[in-house]
Amino acid sequence: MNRQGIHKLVQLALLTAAAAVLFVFESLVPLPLPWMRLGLANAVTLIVIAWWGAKEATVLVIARVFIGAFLLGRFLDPGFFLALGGGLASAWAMAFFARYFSRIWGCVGISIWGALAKNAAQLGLISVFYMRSAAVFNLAGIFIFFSLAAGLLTGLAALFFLRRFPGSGIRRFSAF
Amino acid sequence: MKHARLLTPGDWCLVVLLLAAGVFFYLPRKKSVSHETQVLVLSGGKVVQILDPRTDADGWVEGLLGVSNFEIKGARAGMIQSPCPNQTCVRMGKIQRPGDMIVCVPNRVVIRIVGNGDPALDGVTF
Repeated sequence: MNRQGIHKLVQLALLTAAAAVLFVFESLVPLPLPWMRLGLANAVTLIVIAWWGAKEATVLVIARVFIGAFLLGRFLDPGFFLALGGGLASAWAMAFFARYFSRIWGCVGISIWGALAKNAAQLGLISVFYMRSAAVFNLAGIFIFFSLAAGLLTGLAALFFLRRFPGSGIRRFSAF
Repeated sequence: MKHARLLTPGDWCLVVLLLAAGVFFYLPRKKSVSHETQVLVLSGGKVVQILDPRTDADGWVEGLLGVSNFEIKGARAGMIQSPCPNQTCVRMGKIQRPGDMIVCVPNRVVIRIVGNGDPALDGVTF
């Protein structure tokens, strides 16, 4: 592996560790629903998308969810699958918007889309696999507010980080 | 200016749009629960009386040991007098929410409230 490859590997490993720490820390924050999460780790996903792209972000999310689940002792429980589904949905949505719509939406906008995708995916998973009813979609209003707040928070966090460390990748976001 | 704004115009539009959508989804959710709450009186495991909690009533039910007296007053049901030795059912007080129940084990009498109003449990977690 060349020098650049090692550099990238180390950076990705550090970011994965940071994401896993955020993921575990977040589980200590009390929220009204057991699987409801702020999605702080999505800030790290967004940074990885800005630096590299969707492939690296996918690797990061899977690693983060596995490490987090092992640390919390929640491997393969319902919350694990929700975290995995939500994390991947968020990463891919953010990668998509960063790739094709970075003229319209900046870091914060992309982060909000990611939070929306995460919550939509999780509601979908819950309604299909765990509750077998569409009743959870009555929560749509709350989830829109929740996604908005979480997306703003993580988007601003990622934005401040990216201004400090723009990375070697292409500047994808107009609102740097 | 070294940096551009924190939020692009598109970001602001998205925030406003989502606020509007959230309000739109959130406001018209009026409670769709029908208040078909009922008070069931069971003796020996069988339903012997079905009562409306909105009408005050005094009632009695024949149990294993004898007659238990109960009352419904102000949408609350309670056991008034029971032939059982420990009187736990009487000391249970009044019940009013779906899911609540008073059980008199010695006399095999149960008063329970069923319906789809606000349940006594806020939620179930796992």
